[in-house]
Amino acid sequence: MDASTLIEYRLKIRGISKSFNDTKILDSLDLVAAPGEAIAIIGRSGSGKSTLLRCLTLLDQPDEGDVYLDDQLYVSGQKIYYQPWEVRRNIALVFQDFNLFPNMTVLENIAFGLRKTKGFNKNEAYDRAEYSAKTLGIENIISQYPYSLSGGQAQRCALARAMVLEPKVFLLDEITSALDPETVLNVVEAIRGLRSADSSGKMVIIVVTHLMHFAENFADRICFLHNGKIHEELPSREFFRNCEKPETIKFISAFLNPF
Amino acid sequence: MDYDWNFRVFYPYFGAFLRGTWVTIELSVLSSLCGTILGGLLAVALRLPYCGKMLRLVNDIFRAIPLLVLLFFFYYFPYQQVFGIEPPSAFFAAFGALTLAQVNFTADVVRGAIDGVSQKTILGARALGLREMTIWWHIILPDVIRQVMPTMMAFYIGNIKLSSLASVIGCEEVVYVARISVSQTFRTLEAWVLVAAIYILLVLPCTILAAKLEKSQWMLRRS
Repeated sequence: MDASTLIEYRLKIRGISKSFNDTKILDSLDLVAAPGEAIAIIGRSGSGKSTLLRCLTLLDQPDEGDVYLDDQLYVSGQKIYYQPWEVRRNIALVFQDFNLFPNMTVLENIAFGLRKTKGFNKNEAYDRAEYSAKTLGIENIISQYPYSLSGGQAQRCALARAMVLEPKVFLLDEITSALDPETVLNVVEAIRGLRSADSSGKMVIIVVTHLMHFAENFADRICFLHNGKIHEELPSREFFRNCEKPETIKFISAFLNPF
Repeated sequence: MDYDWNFRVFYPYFGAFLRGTWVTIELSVLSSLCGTILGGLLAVALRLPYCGKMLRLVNDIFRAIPLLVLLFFFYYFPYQQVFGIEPPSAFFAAFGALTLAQVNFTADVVRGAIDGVSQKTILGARALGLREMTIWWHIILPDVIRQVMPTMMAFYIGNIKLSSLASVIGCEEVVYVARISVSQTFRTLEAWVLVAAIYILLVLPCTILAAKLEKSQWMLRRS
């Protein structure tokens, strides 16, 4: 299935480019995500995976290219058609290092966005935050502060904080990379939970990950990012068997037969 | 100890000392308050892309000037000739100099604290779709206050004592009153013991309050 032939899409990226100090990180990259689709992006460190997610949320400004969300063009090269905060309310980004508010409890962390972006009052926001915490299995630590959380708990708090805002697109930037293997399982379960908790069934999830098995089992499609482009993309069930390009094969073989 | 202490001669000066103490309080509280507000604003301005560096240089130059010299500048400045306005009273000149000193200090401390706010926290807030104003108000400001509070408290306390310099331009605060009373009673040591006691009474509660604040739940909400 060629993604570009899809008529209905939630997120469409056309020819996006980004350079830092004359180094081209993204080079006219195209990607389309259908409603409800989960996409895994894999690739070497420095291949532009994080930059792509940062450009989509306007944390970095792309040099060229268009991005559409539900038919709405929101960024075209240097031109931004919506306020960055408006875009980010629809496109959530969760980071590898959690980036929680250190001076707020878990519950306050989750509720803060609701109160400030959606105008919920304290009680409503806390109710929803508690529900969201339950979904991610952190309801027993909601009164703790971030410094006292384990990596897995902190990451699930970060997920809950983003999820509670009901974004249309969920971007996860190597969120399991700072965690030990057992905790990774925990967080992976939480990510699956996100998908099943989405009542509309239309939320797009894009995960940047180094967990090949997770990519294969969780995502509908795997994209290999190389030289600033989507070098190869295939439905996830076929990816590891049928990928053809030498760079892709070289990259995944390092994972499949590491030593 | 053979020294013949005589505090009784100061009875007639009771009211004067009380008024002087009040002026000391007014001077230090007002200059601390205004200095903190203006200093906080200046700290934000110091981070502006173009004029920031200039402002920082100006701030550093003023910081190099001793408070005593600032006091003279503020008092002897030719207001009439330059601005065509009446010169300020000794109190307002002292208020101006103390405020300027507080502004210089606050701006530098707060600027450092703003730089010290975790960029990751700010990034996390941005990614949630919070507006920059919300981030400044709810994320950066509380963190900055927590960071600068102990230093600022120390400076507020220092400011109470620094306000004693205002006596040299004739501002009628407690040290000025003491000097007048010495010239009339010739009981130098007693007068300064009184002044010391007054400062202890003023400063000690502030020190205790500062210690309490530092241990408060709100202050402990730090990463």
